[in-house]
Amino acid sequence: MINSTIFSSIIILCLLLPIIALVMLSILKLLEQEFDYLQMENKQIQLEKQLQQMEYVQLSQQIRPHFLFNSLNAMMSLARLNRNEDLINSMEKFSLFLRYQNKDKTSLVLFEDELEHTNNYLTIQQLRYGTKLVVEYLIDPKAFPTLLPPYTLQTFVENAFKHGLEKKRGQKKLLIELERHGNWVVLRVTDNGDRELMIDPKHEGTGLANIRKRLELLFELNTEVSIKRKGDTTEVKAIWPYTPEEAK
Amino acid sequence: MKLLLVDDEPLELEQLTYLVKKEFPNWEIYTAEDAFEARQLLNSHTFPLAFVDIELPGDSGLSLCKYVREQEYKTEVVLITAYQDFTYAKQAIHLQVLEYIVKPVIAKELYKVIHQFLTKHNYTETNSELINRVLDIIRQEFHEKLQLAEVASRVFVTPTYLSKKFMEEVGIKFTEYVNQYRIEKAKHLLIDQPEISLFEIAERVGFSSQHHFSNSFKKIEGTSPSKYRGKRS
Repeated sequence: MINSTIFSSIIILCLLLPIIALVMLSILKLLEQEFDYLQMENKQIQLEKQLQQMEYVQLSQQIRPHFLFNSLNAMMSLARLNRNEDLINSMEKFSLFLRYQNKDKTSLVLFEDELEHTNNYLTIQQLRYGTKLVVEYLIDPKAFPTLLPPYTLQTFVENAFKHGLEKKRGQKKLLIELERHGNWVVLRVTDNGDRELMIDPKHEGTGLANIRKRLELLFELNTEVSIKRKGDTTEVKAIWPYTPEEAK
Repeated sequence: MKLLLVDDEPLELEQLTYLVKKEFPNWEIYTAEDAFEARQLLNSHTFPLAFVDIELPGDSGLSLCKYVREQEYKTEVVLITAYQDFTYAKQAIHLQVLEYIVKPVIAKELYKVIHQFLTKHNYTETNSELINRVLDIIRQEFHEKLQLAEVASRVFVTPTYLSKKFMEEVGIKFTEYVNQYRIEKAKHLLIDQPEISLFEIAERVGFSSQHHFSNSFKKIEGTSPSKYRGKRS
């Protein structure tokens, strides 16, 4: 009798244990999935927050009324001087510039679109400074199809004006470079403005920190955003994994 | 009149030149793209008026303004800026700038400032370059002895021709104009510097005696200099 009770208990136990284990395992797996999902969602939210912050910076601080008024003033000059064609061209570029800012953006955009946006900005600056401003491009076709976080190039270029070129006497030079190194893309913006304090990381401003943060959130692999003084020029650099449209 | 424009944007210099020339075609306009170029021009020319952009490469517009004051140039400065920043405005007042205009440049605002300058300095402009040169001499040397014959020889015409031409362009006689100009200057001194005597004022604005000054003052203002001062202070 005792033996049969023990025996049946053992049988029940043997049957129950795997079932319990199975249930526990699946719960764990579900939990893990849930956890992963939450983590991803958190990352997504952070990314969106960073992007929103950048949009805010673009609209309020960086592009400030300063650039708007300067653009309006330059266009008014063209109108007064009867340079109709130049006026129409710059108004178009200016409209496209504003359009990009008000467009809904994904966390990654085509380099081509970002470059066009930056060029619209540069058209206005070129209008203001004329031959005193020289902009050069060195774009590697192997890197060109990549995606990047929106406002990366634009922020680099704007900073070059704000902290360097606007204060530079004589020739103002700006160089935009995009290179491919294996699986990585390197974006470099170099200006010949005079700058003393800017290398201090505390002074690099919200713009660069924001781009660094977004790159870290977007890619699991190594990314970099840095600023350094090279002789008479200042170079701002971003490195991230090459990401063509298909891989998105 | 010589006008100095300082701005780092060539297009802006073109715009300002265009706007000024439209109303004042006779003005001689000089442009500089930074404070360094502006200082060189200031050292070799006399500018009664200058428009200076605050944001200049190298030394700022405010420091150029400071330089003008330190060198004691008699240049009135109008600051131009894209900012509507109060700290700038405060510094600008400290540097005794005439006015402050904000970009984009509104034509009406620009002309208002120029007229404000013309009124303050009692400037007369005519369509004749010869007469404008004579008016320049009066503005710069009103406190000295100004004789029609001597001025005429300096601008290479005969006194009779100058006298006739002056009457045509300005509407009053040369001596009358000089007297009026001196009285205007005297009025400013009477109000702004109550501590200096009538005798000194008469001398500073170019009258040979206090008696002559008082008589001319009464003739133009209808009251004596001391009464004028008493009423205003």
